[in-house]
Amino acid sequence: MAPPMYADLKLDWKAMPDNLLELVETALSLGYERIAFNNHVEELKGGKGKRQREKNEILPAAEILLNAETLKGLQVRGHRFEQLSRVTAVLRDAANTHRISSPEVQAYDLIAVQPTDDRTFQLACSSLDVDLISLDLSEHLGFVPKRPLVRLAAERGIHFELSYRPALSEGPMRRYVLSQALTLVTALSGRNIIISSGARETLELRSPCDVVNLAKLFSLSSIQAKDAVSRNCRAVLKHAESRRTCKSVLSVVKMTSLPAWEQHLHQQLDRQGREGREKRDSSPSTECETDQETPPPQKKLKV
Amino acid sequence: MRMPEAMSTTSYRTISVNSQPYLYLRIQLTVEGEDADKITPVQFKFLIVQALKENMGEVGAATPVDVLKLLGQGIALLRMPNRNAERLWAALTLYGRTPSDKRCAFRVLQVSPFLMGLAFDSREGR
Repeated sequence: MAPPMYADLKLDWKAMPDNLLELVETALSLGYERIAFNNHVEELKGGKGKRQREKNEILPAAEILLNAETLKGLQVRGHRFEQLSRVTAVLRDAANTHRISSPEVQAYDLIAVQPTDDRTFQLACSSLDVDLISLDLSEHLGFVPKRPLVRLAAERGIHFELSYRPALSEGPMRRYVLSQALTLVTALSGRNIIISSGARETLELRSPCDVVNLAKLFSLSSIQAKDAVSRNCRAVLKHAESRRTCKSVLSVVKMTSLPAWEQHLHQQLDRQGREGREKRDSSPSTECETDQETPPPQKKLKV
Repeated sequence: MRMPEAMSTTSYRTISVNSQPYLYLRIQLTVEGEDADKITPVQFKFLIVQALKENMGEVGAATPVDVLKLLGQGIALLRMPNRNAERLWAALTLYGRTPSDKRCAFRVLQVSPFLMGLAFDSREGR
């Protein structure tokens, strides 16, 4: 089996735009291969009519990502590297959650929410169309993660995220973060957890095996700990992908936008179409009824 | 590895999964605004003891952690007893500020219960 692909699904994009490249390079040299840049939105505001004016702008997803040139420069050095855009919205008011389904938010690769009270937590677990529920350990959560709700979220494929950045600060804060992480892991029974850095500077990044060990300190088993930085992150990505498809089963791809290795399908359908036409032209009319017609090339349904 | 006489022709081997007495780490220390090559073994060991003291108190800092070799670029080979390696390692991970109030980070690059395991990194050049 191939060794797991380590992922860090939360690098802070806003705090240090100048240091971002350095941050990415450090993450790559430590062995991360999937990195998500996080756009932290403090509050979702705005609605229809009078409240339209309060609406806050959300940065387009494409602006967060590194441009193609930089990306190529990083990949030349022999790293496998995948970048993702992610938005984290703090839910302060249950009334504004409808903005999550707006196209500007859905354009992001990953959508995370950070509930602040019981109401929003319940909403996030049961009905919101999100991939991650981010939990800020440095503050009081404001809600109790109850088993039935958590299980409901897990059934819907939503993962819970803990980030270790506040644990690196000194003094009572570290103790607070650790104790809160312990209670959370007990409530989530160790499943559906991912651990990310939330780093703003290079010195706040730790290597994947450090994170795995840290997860063991959060009372995860050694397998769960390893999954928290590799397998569960992949599951989150797959969940995000399924968000964009119909019932998670079907998605329509235009033939022209097929990747090169699937171009043969293009040719095959083309050829079948041509043969069918020729046969119809040359064969006598009596045989035409028994002859099965080849369907014309259609949009390909990808299952 | 022991191979019984009768089965010596077929492929048969036993692998022991006993816990080993030590855990070896290849660890990198980065200190903000300082040249990593200039860190001396004494400073390295001092910072490790500081990290253990901060997270585990005087008793925790008493565990024998050995700096086997300093390889340059702030990378060192470390040996710690396997029994409470998890906590010791986490103490190093969570350490973020030196006594002279500079930010720093211990990052573990490789772990193995055998020193020989650190000779080659299977993740390199993927």
